[in-house]
Amino acid sequence: MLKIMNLSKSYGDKKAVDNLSIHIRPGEIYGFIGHNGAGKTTTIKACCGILRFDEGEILVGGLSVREQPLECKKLIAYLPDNPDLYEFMPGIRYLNFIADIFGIEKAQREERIARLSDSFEMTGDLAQPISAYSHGMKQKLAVIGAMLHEPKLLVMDEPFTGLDPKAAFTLKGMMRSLCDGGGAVFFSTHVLDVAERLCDKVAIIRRGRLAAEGPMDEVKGNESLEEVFLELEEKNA
Amino acid sequence: MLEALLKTRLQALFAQLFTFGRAGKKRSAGMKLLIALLVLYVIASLGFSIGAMFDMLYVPYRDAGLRVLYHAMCALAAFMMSFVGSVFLAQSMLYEARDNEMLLSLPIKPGSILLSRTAVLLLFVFVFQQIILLPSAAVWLIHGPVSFTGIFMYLLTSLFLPLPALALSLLGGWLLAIITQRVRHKTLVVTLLSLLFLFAYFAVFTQLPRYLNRLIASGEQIAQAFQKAMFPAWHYGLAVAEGSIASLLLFALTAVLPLLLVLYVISKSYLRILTMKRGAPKAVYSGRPMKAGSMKGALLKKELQRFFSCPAYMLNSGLGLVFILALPVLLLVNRGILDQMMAQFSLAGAAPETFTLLILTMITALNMVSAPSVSLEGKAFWILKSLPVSPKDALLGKVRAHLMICLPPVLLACIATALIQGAALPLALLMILLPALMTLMSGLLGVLLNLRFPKFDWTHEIEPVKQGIGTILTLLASFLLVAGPAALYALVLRGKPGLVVFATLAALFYSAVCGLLYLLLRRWGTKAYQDLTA
Repeated sequence: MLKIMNLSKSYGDKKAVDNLSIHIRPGEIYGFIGHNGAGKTTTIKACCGILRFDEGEILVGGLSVREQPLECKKLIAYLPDNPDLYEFMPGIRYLNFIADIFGIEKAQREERIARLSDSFEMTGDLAQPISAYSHGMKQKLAVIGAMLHEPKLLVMDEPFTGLDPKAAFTLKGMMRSLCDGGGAVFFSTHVLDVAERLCDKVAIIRRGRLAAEGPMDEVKGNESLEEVFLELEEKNA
Repeated sequence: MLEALLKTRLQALFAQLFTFGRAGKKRSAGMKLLIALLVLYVIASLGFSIGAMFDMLYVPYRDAGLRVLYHAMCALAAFMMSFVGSVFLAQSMLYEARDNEMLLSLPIKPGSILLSRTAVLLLFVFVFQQIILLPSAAVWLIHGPVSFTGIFMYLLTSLFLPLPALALSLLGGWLLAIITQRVRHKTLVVTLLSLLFLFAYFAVFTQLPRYLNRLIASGEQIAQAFQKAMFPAWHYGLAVAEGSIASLLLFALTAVLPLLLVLYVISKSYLRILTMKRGAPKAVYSGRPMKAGSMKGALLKKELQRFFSCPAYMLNSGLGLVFILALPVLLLVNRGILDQMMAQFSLAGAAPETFTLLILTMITALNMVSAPSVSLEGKAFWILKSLPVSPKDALLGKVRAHLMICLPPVLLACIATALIQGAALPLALLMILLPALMTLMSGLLGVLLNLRFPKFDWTHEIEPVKQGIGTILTLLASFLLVAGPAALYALVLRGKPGLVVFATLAALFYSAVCGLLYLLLRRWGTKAYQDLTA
């Protein structure tokens, strides 16, 4: 579903991502872990066609992000770490905007908006301007917007930040359903407990390079993911 | 603490001019030179027009022994100019800055936040005042008499002069903040108040020639009135013209005391206003049937919603629309106004249609709706970038919004003006075509220049809208695209060939420029868009 091959990206002299390769297959929830500034957000943005990369190739459903960005974006849903949305719009208008962009038919959008908004207990707030939303409400609206076109690949940067426990639980359920339906999820997180319980596979990135990668059980062995992560950090310090 | 805050504010202000992009890259030497030339050009053009006005006043006043009145009037004009320019800025800078909450979370006294923002506002007030003070002082220096004491006193009083305007702007901004937090339709209220303010300002401005003649004719009476009703301005004049130290002290006192008083009053409620979230009653979602639309339609609607939800954007970028709609109304109400205006611009002998065509195109060039539109994406730019929207569609959506907002009023005003003037059909068509092409041209140019000079890290919409380098360059380029052909026609060709032939050639030239800009948008623009990140 998502194939990152020898990805490199520099900001001036600083190499943010260095020859990174990851392969995420349909049905997998893939966790992406690393310290601050390790290159997680750069990788995620490159996968979604938001950021140009210097070298390598990224394929989404077999399509090149570089060559066919629009086709790739139709398959992807992206959720940033900080949900800055169009504050001048009410929530419902934002969702309608997203639905128009993806060309979702009237009946489908009505059903999906109603279902997703109910799941996140946002229906009553949809007429409110986004500027009046709390951080968590914006995050929920961004999730609803992301799921509206029923993506094949969900790419998220720290998705649980700001979500209340119930919304986080709902999102985890949606991630699993998406994968059960043949989709895939690729997300970064600092909450290692969540990653350990939720992910089928995990990649640990350090200074733009892959430090460890594979099925969760193989990467962590008999230890916890936290211990493995800290050991890797110490080893490479 | 206050020092650190001041430093941050000033750094942000200068970064606005001398850095660009996400990485805060420094502008090249060439770009700095361009900005400097731009600033010089604006200063020179404003200076000459305002200087010419004061030039009419100075000699008669000097000869009548009314130099004190001249300087007092300069002070009053500078005070008014800076108040008009800074009152809405005061509201947005002090009460609507996006970093207010972040600063309040730090161990910083609200008073320090207030003072640091006031200091930056003072800088703006000072700059606004120089628009009047520099040309009026130049007139005084050219015609004399000038003494060392006079210059010294002038410099000293000019330092105090921004303070009363600052006090009034702070008070105005404070009242606006209180009002807008209590009303439901904040956008509408702010827009109406701003328009009211502008109409009052321009009503005075359009009557200036008449006022000037009256001012010259009745200097003595005005001087007496000034002494009684506007004694701080009178003492400013006395200090500069006669070197009176007592007047200087009195003026300084009348400048400082109101400011201290206003600051005291505002500081008492500053924290409360910043943290007050009354808002409107919660709108409840009723689940009405939805309408499905096209992708291009969605992009257009998004741009329109942004424009109509932000008074600062509407008023600064769409001001030309108010003027252009006012023009046929003015012509209808006062048929002689065109002759008055032509006489004012030393064009008494020219055909009225020539002047109307020039004015219509020039006012159209003031509309800058698309110029800040890329920067206004701000931190939400990720939405457009992550959606399956091609760069071409995203950028053309901004141009379409510009056209959708500007074209209907421009066309309406042009048709009405042509009808009122009774222009012949070919000329009437050109009176519509040239402003329409100018609208398209400024729309394309605005997006292109904003792509070249984006600024996503603003704290209030007013920053990209009012201070963005792309906006300023678009305004200048659009102005040159009108003034250039006009100067060619008037000064080089001296009215030959006829207006219809020349305007047709100008329309062809504008069409070619539009075509070129469109190609540039599709090629360079789409690539630049792909490279952009917020």
